[in-house]
Amino acid sequence: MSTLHLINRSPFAASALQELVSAVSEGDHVLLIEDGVYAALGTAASKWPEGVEIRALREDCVSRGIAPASTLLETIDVAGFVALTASTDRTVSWF
Amino acid sequence: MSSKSILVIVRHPPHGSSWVREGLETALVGAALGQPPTLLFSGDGVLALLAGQQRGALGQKGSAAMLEGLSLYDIEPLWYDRYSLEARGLTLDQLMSGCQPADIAGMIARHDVVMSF
Amino acid sequence: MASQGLTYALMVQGAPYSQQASHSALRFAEALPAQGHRVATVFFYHDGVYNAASMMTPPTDEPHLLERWRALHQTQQCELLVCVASAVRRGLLDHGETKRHGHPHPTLEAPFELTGLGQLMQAAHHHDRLITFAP
Repeated sequence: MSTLHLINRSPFAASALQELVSAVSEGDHVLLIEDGVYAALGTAASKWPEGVEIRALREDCVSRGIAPASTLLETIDVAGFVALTASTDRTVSWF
Repeated sequence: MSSKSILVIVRHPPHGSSWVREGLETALVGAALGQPPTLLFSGDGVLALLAGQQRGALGQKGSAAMLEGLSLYDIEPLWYDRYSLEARGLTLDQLMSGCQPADIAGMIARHDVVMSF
Repeated sequence: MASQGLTYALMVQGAPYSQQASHSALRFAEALPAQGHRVATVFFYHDGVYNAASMMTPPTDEPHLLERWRALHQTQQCELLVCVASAVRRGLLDHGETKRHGHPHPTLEAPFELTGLGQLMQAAHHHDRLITFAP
């Protein structure tokens, strides 16, 4: 049983990432989409919750000129997004 | 209707947008269909629970009256995130009656469907 | 990974051309069949109801969101449900509401349907997944 958390807001404008710390369970997944992908920028990384897998949607990174260092953040395509919603039990959108 | 447990999370403050009202209306419809959802306030959503709210500009209805009536529809307690409340310098005695602190991670994991407003 | 096709409900809460929510929802919905899934219900709520504006006329070099929703309805046989309370407030009226309120022209047409929030709850209960695309 796990949850996919979708974040579409920049971490510099919204507190979703902080709230997420008390909202995730071990084994949950986080997918950054839209302006959420700006969390891939260096200084935001320290706020990521532990024990969860965080990825960014590649198309939204590319369109914004963000190239997450692969060691920090894995990117997935839309097919990967679909697969994550299918393999987890529920999706929560944070906006 | 097959039975799934539904969690409604409200994460926006009242009056500045229609999110609170729309989240509450969704919860009320769930209750009217015989399955009261769990209702959780997190982030700025906890501000919707403040006691002493009034109507807004142009006489626009707020959400406080709706919130106070939810127990009639078996939507209770009004769950809130205690960290969000603390971060805003607020305490439980400043909120309307019927509020209770929640373990958010556990609450999300226990529900089949989560709707966010 | 789920072994068989899932049915999805999408809740779209973002206004078209103001936020990416509509683009994100369409991109997601259009990618479902490749993995054997389908979107069964799209529910438009909050400013998302503007996705159903029948006179939507974007510049030709931009995606035509109304046409994309119609195409989705065709290819995946999904319902396009619009919250009636949110829509009528914002001036989106189908034929019936137009007559009832004495307005000259409908601003919302099939395959979009005005419905109540009960339909959103039904979709949440009946379909395998509910994904929210927010502003």
